[in-house]
Formats: sequence, structure tokens, C-alpha cells
Amino acid sequence: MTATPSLVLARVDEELRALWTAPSTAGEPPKSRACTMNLVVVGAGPDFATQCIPVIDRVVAHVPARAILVGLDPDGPDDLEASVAAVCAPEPGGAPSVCSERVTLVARGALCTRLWSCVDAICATDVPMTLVWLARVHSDDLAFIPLARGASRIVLDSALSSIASLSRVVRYTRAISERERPGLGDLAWTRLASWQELCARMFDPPRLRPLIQHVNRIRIVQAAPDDVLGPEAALLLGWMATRLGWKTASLAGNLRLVRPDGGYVQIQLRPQLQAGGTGGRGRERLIGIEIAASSGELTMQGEIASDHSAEADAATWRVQVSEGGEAQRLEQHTYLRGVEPAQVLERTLHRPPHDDALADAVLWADELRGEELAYT
Amino acid sequence: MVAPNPLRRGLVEDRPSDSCAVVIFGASGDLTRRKLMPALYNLAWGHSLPGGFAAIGVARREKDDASFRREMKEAVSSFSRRKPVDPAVWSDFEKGISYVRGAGSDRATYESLKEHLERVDAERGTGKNRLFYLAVPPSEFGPIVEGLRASRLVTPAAQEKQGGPWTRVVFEKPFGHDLSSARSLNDAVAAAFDEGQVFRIDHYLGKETVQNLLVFRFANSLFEPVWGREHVDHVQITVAEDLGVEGRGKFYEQTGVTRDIVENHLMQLLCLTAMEPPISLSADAVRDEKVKVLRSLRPIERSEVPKEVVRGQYVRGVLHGEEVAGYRQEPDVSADSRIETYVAMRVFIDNWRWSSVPFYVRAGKRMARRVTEIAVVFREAPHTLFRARGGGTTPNVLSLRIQPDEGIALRFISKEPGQQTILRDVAMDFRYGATFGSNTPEAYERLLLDAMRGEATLFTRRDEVEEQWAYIDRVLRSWASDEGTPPHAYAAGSWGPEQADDLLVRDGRRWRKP
Repeated sequence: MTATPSLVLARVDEELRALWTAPSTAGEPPKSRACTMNLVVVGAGPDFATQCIPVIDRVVAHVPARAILVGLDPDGPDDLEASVAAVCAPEPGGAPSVCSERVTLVARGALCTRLWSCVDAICATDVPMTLVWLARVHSDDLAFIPLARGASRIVLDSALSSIASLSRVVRYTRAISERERPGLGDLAWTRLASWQELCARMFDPPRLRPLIQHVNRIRIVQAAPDDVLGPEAALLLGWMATRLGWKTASLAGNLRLVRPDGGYVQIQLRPQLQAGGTGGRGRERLIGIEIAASSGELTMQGEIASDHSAEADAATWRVQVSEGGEAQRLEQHTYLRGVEPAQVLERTLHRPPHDDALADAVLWADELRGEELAYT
Repeated sequence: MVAPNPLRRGLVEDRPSDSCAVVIFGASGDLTRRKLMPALYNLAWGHSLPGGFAAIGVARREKDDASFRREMKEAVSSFSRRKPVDPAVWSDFEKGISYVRGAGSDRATYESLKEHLERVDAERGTGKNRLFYLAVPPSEFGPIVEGLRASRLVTPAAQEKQGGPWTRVVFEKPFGHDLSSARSLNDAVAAAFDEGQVFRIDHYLGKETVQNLLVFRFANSLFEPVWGREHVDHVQITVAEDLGVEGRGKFYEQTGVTRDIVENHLMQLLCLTAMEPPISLSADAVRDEKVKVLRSLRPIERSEVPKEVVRGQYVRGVLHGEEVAGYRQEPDVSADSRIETYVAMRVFIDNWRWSSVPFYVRAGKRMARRVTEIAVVFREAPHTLFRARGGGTTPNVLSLRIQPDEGIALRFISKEPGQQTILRDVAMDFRYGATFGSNTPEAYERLLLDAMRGEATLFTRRDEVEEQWAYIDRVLRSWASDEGTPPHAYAAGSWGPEQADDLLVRDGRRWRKP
């Protein structure tokens, strides 16, 4: 006979306590527990929780937490499966290990809609809950909404779900009073952090700073089988547009952006078919961007080009400046720090929970749906 | 005035400085190898260096760019917290590394440097912004500052305010030898640089745990109400090193632990512990509050020095199970040296909050273990309900461990489970490494980046340095006039001379063994 959810949860609670009361075996270094948050990671499918164990174990080695990994199987028979483990980072020199806790759950059938209650029963007290929701979000999702209500921060991956999903969560959080509003993170947004920094860097020299108001062309290269603007590219565009005050406008059927001074920014999209997998970053991965700006005789052409394979994390940043017949060229090789999933989640958890730039970029990018870009 | 880069607004990671060239005087020295270049490399690894960046070494030895780069790569391989060296990051980083041979006192050095910097500006896009880092002995500060000024390598601060390039200068400690030399040095620096261009390093301020002191005190509502004379019995600040002088006998013979540690690191820890909440976290707001503490220190009159200050010198002893030599047996140390390698002081802060609360501070070399700690010892409960076996109850102690095992512990009393009422000291222990991981940035990474960004909060201001010296100078002058009394001997591997224990015992207290 299958155990009832309450019996399963009682056993989980007992096992969690037993992890820290059981004496260490002889010769084994002592363990101590650290916990800064409940990290609830939810995805679709009965195998999801098991599949994400390696990533989450790496994350909690740096962000001590009670990790609760949940696979949702709404089409299965009503049932709740659970297991408990300690995740200990070995310390050098036999020093006491510092451990996090991991609970894996598989919620089936109606248990999916009551998941919030199950999670609530086994969360560590007095520490906040971060909900990492790695699936699409619909406004009437019976599993997502109650869980989100208890979260102090919600993290999505728009590259795996969609800008529309992220946009729904932005609207959901904005409807909550500022005092109670949960933070919001997006793994795709974190992956873009290095791109943003490298774009900003093009305009850091005081001499080039005025050119930022005179960007006239942006060319985006993304790994995509078709002409659809991917979430990463849309977010990057949204970020630039909202920072620089660009508005959308169509001209002869193609999307253009209008600068505050009335000038146009031409947007070009170049899909580039990629061999191999997606590197866990969605199909339409951003792989390059070119930015051109000019004012009078001064022109700047900047480029960020990532290495082409999905697993590669390196990029080349180039800037060419010319004025009055003189040209200067700078080039750097750098890492984008966007490949390793555990690192991306860890960085997301370390970012400030409230990021207006993300919310602004998401809402702007969401409006781009259905617009046509110029393709090259 | 150039408008801020709007794309930087709201970026939460990777905040690099403006493009700039970092010029390191003393490029052949240990500090460059062990700290500065690894810190710059780590910043490069973490995307924190600007797009246009160059690091230029200046030193007397003859070498070319290629051999300097090789040396620096070896240094980074040995001392960076990120190992092994990443070939791609290094390959870019080393393109910006170059070397200029020259001496700080030689005018020709600055002419060569000027030409070199102009070339670097053109090739590396460093935008004429320069950060001069003086990793040299204090005796060279003056000539270098004058050389930079005379060669017009210093852009006036007013030009920066109008959007022009900037010049900043970083001084390593010790800044001066006493109050008079610190003032002279400050005057010489002020003749070439605006105070806003001057960054005096106390690398303790770059440590995460020291920065956390402000957060701990002013972001938690729990502690501030009990942080004062009504609840605190006394405070102990310990900066103990297990190392000896490690081949720096010559340097130590001229400084001693009071100038090396107490005048700067220890005074800064005291200020951060005792200061009032600043009105903001701006550089001047924080430094204003620290200066107020320094001005409130009760001066130790010459006649009081023997009673309030204990100095010691280590003799042969056993440390970590091994016999170690005494200070006078160290190379380059005089056989009858009277330099102190240990000092303990009872310090009072005459202000509303701390009136009559003693701060016992101590610093020493070759002590039983390496530890830096601030311990706030609270008053005992006014009435004891419980009879503890073997005496009364012990007071609550909040200890802030700066290094190693950075963390915060609160000691309190608990009942042991059982039929009898047996009281036991227990500790709530928070360790940074356990909670946030151990790969935190080195102090020099933060400080270099702050200097490049022009953020001065973690650097000491002129008046701070002079107030620190003003307080310590009385003690030094008293010792100088009392040449007949040698420092008390203490065995290497101990916690200092017995006389230092008396400093507390006569007040009915004792040193902690952190």
C-alpha cells in the first residue's frame, strides 16, 4: 500500500532530523549543517528531481540550503515519493564537513496542485524560500501560484520557458505590494550579465561616451534554426532599449527602434545554425552582437563574438574607433560565464533579489512578440 | 563633465573602473609578486578590469617586458587564489604588462615613464588615467611624489571634475614613522596631489570580515542597543601572528610592532568597533566617524605609559611543537635590540557611549597562534540565581573573528540536560567559510579596484593617519626617553609577557585565549 502524503512527509522530517543527531562513524570527520535558504527547484516530469541533483549539489556546496527538488507528474496516479540526503562538501585537512540537506520529491496526480502544502511542511524554519521554477508559467498554474506565494524570490529560465512566462511572473510580482513583493531572477538574464558588461564597456571611455546616444545599428547573431528572436537576444535588446530610452517603430514592415533624438537604430538578426546540442541554454542561444555608433567624424564599431560551440564559454570583444582618418582597435578575450548551470544558478542566487532592469527588459521584450526584424 | 554610462545603470555584477594604467613602483618587490599582480590577474579573471587596461612595473633592476611578464606569470601561478593560471585570461592580461627601468629618485625615470605611458595610452586605450601604486619603503614616497609632480605626470583633480583624465596615488603602510614624519609626508603629498587623489592603504580594511563589521553593527537591530557602556564590560582586540620577522629584521628594527600593527591595523579595528553610525556609507561620512573615535581616545600621559602599556620581545621558545629562535637571534637584528615585538595597551574612549569601558588591545609576533579577533565582553547578570559549580557564571562574549576562520560567535550560558542544574558555556558559531564558501576576494583585489574606481571609503584619510600617530606618538616618545627599561621577555609560542596579564588582572579581568 502506498504511504499517504502526510506519512511520507513525517518520514522526511524524521530523516532530516536524524541526519544531524546520528553519531558519526568512527574515523569519519564530524559534520555540521549550514542553511541560508530553502531552495525549492521544480520542473516537469517524474525524473526531473533526480536529473537535477548533480547541479543542485554543486550549488549548495557554495550556498548552503535545504534543497527541495520536485518533479511534477500531473498525469500519474495521486502519489508522493520522497528521499532525503545530506550533501557535504569535503573540507581540506579533515576539518568538519559543512553539509546542506537535499530532499527529492516526485508529486503525481492531484498532489501537484497540493505541492505547496507538502513543501511548506518540510521547509527549514526561519530562512527564506527561493523558488526555482524550470518550466513554463501560465497565469492559472495551480502548482506555481501557491508556491510562489510563499517564496521570497522566484527564479525562472526564460531560455527554457519563454519571455511570455517570465513576463507573466513580472506582472504577478508587480501586483504585490512592494513590501511583500518577492524578488525575481532569470537564469537567462544572469547568463547575459557578461554580455551586458561587455556592451557597456564599449562606451566606458569618456571620448566614446557621447556615442551611446548615437547607436545606429545592432546586429544580433543567434544560434537558431529559424528567424524567431530568441529569449536571450530579446532580453539583451530590451535591456539596451530600456537603458537608452529607445521606442519601437515599424518601418516598411521591419522593426526599428527610435532613439530619444529621433534617430533610428537598425536591428538585424542573423540566425546561425549550430551543430550539436544547446548546452542546456535553449535553442536560440545568443552567439554574437555588433553595435555601431557614429557622431560627426567619430565612429565606433563594437563586437562580441562567442565561440561557436554550445559548450564553449569564451568570447572575443573588439572595438574599433576611428576619427579623422585615425583608427584604434582594442581586442580582448574573455569568458562569458554562462555555460555551467550550477555556476549560473549560484550567481543568480547571489544577485540582489529586486532588479528593475530585468523587469523593464522583460516587459519591453514581451512587446516585441510578433514584430518582424530585418534578417541578414 | 562626461555623463555617466547609462548601460552601467543597474548592472549588478562586474563593475570595472574607467580604463586606466596602473603603474607600480617597487615592481621587483615581494608585495608586487605576492599581492598586487595576483590581485590584478584575479580582477581580470572576474571581468573587473576595464577594457583599456595596462600594468606597468617600475623598478631599478634591468629587465625587458618579456622577462617581467615571465616573472609576473610565475608570481600569479604561485600566489593567485585562482589556480592554475587560465591561459586565455593570462594571454590578454599580459599584453598590458610592461616594464620601465628606473629609480624613484632619478628624474630620467619619469621622462621614460611619461613616454612609455603615452605609448600605452595609444596602444591599450588607457585614456590617460593613471593609478600610481607606491609599493616601496616610506623613505621613497617623497622622491617619487616629487618626481611625478615635477614631470607633470599628475593631472590636477580639477580637470577630472570637468571630465578629464584622472590621476590617483596609492601609498602602502607605514605612512610615516611618527606624527612629525607623517605630517611632513602628508604635506609633500598635498603639494602634488589633492586629498581626493590620495589612497592610503591599510589592507585590513579590504578584508571581508572587517567590512562586515559595519554591516554587523548597523544592519542588525539586535546588537546596537547593547553596544556601549551600559552593557559592555570591556572589549579585547587581539592581532596575533605566529610568524617572526621572516627575514625583515632590518625593517623591524626600525619599526617594531607598535608602528607596524598598532598604529594602523589595530587602531582601525578599534575605530570600526567603537564608532557611531555614519550618516551614509560615503567615504567621508565613514571616515568622519572614525576620526571622532580617534579624537576621543584618552591620551596616555608619559607618566602613565608604564602602567597602561606593556611592551615585550620574544625570546627562544617552542611554537607548534618546534623550537624557534628569539628575536635577537633573527638575521639583521641587533644582539641588544630593544625593539618591541609585542605590545598590550589599556585604552579608554572618552565619549558618551564608551565612557569608562576599557579597550584592551594587543599585538604581537611569534605568539601561540595566528589570530585577529575583536571580543566584546558583556557585563554579568546583575543577580545570579544559579549556583554554578566551581564558581560564578561567565559573562557573555561576542567575538568577531577577523582571521583565520572568519566568523562571529556568541558565548552564552546554558543548562546541561539532566536532573541537576549544571550550567555550561556554549557558543553560537557562525563561520563565513561554511556559509558563503571560502573563495572570497583577497583584500588587495577589493582595494585596487576601489582605488581604480575612485572609491575611498576603505582607505585612510590624512586626518585619520595623523590622529593615529598623535595617539601612538606619546607612547613611542615615552619609550624613547626611557632607554634604560628593556621590553619584557616572552617565550616564542606564548601569549605574551606576564606583565601583560597584570594589565587586566588588576582590573579583575583576564585575556581571552582566542
